[in-house]
Amino acid sequence: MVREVAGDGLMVAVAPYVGLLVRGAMITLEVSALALALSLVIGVVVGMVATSRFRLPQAAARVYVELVRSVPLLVQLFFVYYGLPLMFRVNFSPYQAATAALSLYGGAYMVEAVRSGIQSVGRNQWEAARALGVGYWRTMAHVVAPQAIRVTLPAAVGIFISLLKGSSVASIIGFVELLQTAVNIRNSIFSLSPLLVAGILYFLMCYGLSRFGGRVERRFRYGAVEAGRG
Amino acid sequence: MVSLFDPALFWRYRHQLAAGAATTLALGACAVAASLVFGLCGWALKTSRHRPLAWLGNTYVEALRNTPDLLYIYGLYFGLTQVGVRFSAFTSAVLALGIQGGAYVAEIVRGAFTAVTRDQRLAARALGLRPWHSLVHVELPQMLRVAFPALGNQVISTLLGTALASVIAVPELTYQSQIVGDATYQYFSIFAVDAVIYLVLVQILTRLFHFVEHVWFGKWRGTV
Repeated sequence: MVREVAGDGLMVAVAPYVGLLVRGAMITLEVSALALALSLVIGVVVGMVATSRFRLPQAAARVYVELVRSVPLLVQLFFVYYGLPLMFRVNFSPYQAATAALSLYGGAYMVEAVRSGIQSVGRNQWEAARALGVGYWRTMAHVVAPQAIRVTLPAAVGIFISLLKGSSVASIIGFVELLQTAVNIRNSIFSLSPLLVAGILYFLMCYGLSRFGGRVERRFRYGAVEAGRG
Repeated sequence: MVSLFDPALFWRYRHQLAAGAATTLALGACAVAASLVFGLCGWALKTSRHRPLAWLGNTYVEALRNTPDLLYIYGLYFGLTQVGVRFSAFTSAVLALGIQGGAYVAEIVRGAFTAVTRDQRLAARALGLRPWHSLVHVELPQMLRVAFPALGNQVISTLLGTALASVIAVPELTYQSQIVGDATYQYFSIFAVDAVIYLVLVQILTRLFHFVEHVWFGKWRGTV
C-alpha cells in the first residue's frame, strides 16, 4: 500500500535521503526546543503578571494571549519575517524569525498553562503563607510553584508538541527543517515518499512526546485533589 | 520615501481583502463540514466492536493528531497527481484540513460520549425507550452539551488553519495580503491588517458560540 501511495515503487528512491530527513528532524527538534525554552521564560514572567493584582499589566497579558491565539501562526511568522525588518531596519534569518515567532506563539499558550497552574493552588494557601509571615517570592517558590507544576508541566509537553508541528510552518519562509527537506527531496525525485517519511518522523517525535506527557502527568499527580479555585 | 506604516492600505485594497476574507470563511466552513464528516467516521471506527476497525480508527486519530497539517496540504496537492488524482487547490485544502480536523473531532465526540454514563443509557432502556430514542432524547443532548465548547474551539483552530492554504495559492486572506505586500512592500501594515481581520473573525465566532451555548444549555438541568 505504501508502494502505491509513493507511486511507481519510488519508496526505494527515498532510501539515500533518509539521513537527510533525519537531520531535518533534528533541526525541527532544535528550533522547537529553543522556542519551548523561550516560551517557558515568557510564560513564567507573563503568567505571574497575569495572576498579580496589577490591573494594567494584567490587561496587557490578556491582550497578548488573545492576540496570539486569534491569529494564524503563519501570519505571525510573516509579520516577524517580512513586516518587522522593513519597519525597524533589522534583519532576521529564517531561523531567527522562526524561533522568535514560535516563541511568541508558544509563550501565549504557556502563559495560560502557568496561570491555570498558579490558580489551581487555593487562595487559602496564600493567606496561610501570609499569616506565617512568608513573602510573595518565597510563597511562590516554596508553596505555589511545587503545586502549580502539576498543572503546568503536562500542558508544557502539549505545547512542545504543537511547537514541533507548528515549526513546519517555518518552511514557508524558506527555513529548511524537516518538512522543507522533504519537499526539496520530493522536487528532485518526484515522489510522495519523502513526505511520507517526514510524516513518520513527525509522528515518532510527537507521539513519543505525548506518551511521555502522559507519564509526566501521572508522576505529578501527587497531593490528590487540592481545593482549587473552581 | 514612502511611509513604512500605512493603515490606509486597508482602504485601498479593501476589495481584495474582502474577497480574501470571504474565501477564508468559505474555506473554513467547508473544512469544518469535512472535519465533522471525517470526525464522525473516525469516531464510529474508533468505538467499533470489531478489533481491526477500532485499530484503524485509533491509528487515524493518533497519526493525524501527531503530524503537521501543512504536510497534508502538500501531500494532497502535489502528491496525488502522481497517482492520477488531481484536486483543485481549494479542494486539496478542504480535504487536508478536514482530515486533520476530523481526528480532533473524533476525540471530542468520543470524550463527550464517555461523559454520558452507561447508567443513563440503561435508565433510558429501563423506561422503555428504544435505542434510537434513547440516543436522540437522552444521550445526544447531554453529549452535545459537553462537546459544544470543544467543538467551538476546533472550529476556530480550523479557521486559523486555513491560512496555510495560501502556500498552494488558494486566494484566501493571507494569500491576498501577501500579494498586496509584494506589490507595495508594506508588509508591516498589511500583515497587521491581516492579523486584525483574523482577530475580528475569531472574536465574532467566539462570542457567537458563547451566545449559542448560553441559549441552548443555559438553563440546563441534566446530570452531565
